[in-house]
Amino acid sequence: MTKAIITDVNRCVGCLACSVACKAVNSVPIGNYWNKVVRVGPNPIPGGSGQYPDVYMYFLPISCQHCENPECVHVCPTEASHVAEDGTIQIDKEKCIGCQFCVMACPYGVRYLNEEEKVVEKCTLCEQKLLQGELPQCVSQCGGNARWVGDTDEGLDSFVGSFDSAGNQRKMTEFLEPFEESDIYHLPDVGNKPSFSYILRGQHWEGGDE
Amino acid sequence: METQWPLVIFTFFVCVTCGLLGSMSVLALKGQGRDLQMTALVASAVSLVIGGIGSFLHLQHWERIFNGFGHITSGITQELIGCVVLAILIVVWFVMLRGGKKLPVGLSAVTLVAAVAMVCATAHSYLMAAIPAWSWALVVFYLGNALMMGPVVLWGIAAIKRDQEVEKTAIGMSLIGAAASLVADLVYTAVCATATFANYGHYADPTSMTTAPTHIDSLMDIMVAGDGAVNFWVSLVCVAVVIACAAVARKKVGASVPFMAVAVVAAAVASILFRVLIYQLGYSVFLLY
Repeated sequence: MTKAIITDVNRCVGCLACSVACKAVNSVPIGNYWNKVVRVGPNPIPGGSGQYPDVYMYFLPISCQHCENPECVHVCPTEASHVAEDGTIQIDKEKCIGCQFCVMACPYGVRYLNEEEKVVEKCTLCEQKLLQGELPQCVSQCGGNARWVGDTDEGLDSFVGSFDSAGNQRKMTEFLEPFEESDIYHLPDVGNKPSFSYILRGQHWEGGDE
Repeated sequence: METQWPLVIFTFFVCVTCGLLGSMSVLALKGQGRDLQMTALVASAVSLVIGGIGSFLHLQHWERIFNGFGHITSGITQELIGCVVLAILIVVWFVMLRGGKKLPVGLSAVTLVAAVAMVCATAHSYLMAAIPAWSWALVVFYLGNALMMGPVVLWGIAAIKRDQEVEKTAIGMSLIGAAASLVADLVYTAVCATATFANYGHYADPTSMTTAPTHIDSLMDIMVAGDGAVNFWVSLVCVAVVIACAAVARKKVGASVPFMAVAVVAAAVASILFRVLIYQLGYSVFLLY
């Protein structure tokens, strides 16, 4: 079992609601971001003039990718960073000595030192909400219905999103515009095998590791 | 990446300790320097303690340090175990030297192996696939640095204690060690030249719109002519100075104190600056913020 989030980048409007919601529900300290949205572009469309409108741009929400082969776990001297039963990467704050080697080892810069508690923190995939059958806050708060949570072992059909006005939970494969397997991307992989995925149709995925 | 000074101090003194213990082992195997081994041993112990204090300063929760023995694949756990092993070996050496007993060949051999292993373990802590500049070449750099620092410190002790036999040996070891250090620096540089980063073209972080995007075509640009140039070039020049001092001092045994003093300072400066450079090159493969 590996819980993960798939983000439909074509649907993300860059409103930062996921980022703000994450900070609010997890009390993320000022200056720290368990979920950050970066604007990629505007980059020139290949073969175009290099000027508007021959450019494209998308927003990329970035958080802990809950990797299958997490470097942060390998380097942690105390096993504070560990792989939980649901496949997510969690931090036992009682064990953390604050050496911050996990911060250095993470390719995505999504781990932060909590200056007050003197321990490292990051996205927990809203573990506390998942355990109660709720959605991670970045998923339930996503106004563009771009964020979906599910189990990578159970396939794309397991990914669900927020509830519609009738109270029915949206299923990703039924809700999203059609996409191909080749439209699914990951952040750069240096052997850590990120579990999170991104869907991007009709544009060039920047950063490699396609 | 911001320079982590406690870790710079820790790795520097680990290389001093291991280099010195290794040099002492070589001396013992050659049957030299019985009279100054205790001084050198105390110096290595002091160096290990200073390094240990340095690493403690990096921890946010140092009172939980014993948790650090909890995960054997972690380089930090291996470092901790290495420090304990070195401390035990230092105590054994102390007992043997105090008792006036002949140092067993086995003890010297074990100390030599432990010193090399400790340097490798320290380097292993920093091997991170996410940071292209922190590759296997770090192991080469730290080994080269220990090969320079140990003999140079031993040269200092021998010159001050006026033990000309050891002084001559230490000068020769310093020459070889510094040359090895220079080669190691160049190997590290060459490996950095092959580093690649994910390219996102134009991008912006909405939480920090005034921060310019980072683009790195080659780490060589940073090392040779960029932010790290001063550290890079001064470090290499300092290693060259150590080589020159040792080369000249070979014919001035018994009167090598001025050369020794310059060599010790130059070796220390080279070691510190190159470590700072390693942090300056510590960009993640994922450069978005």
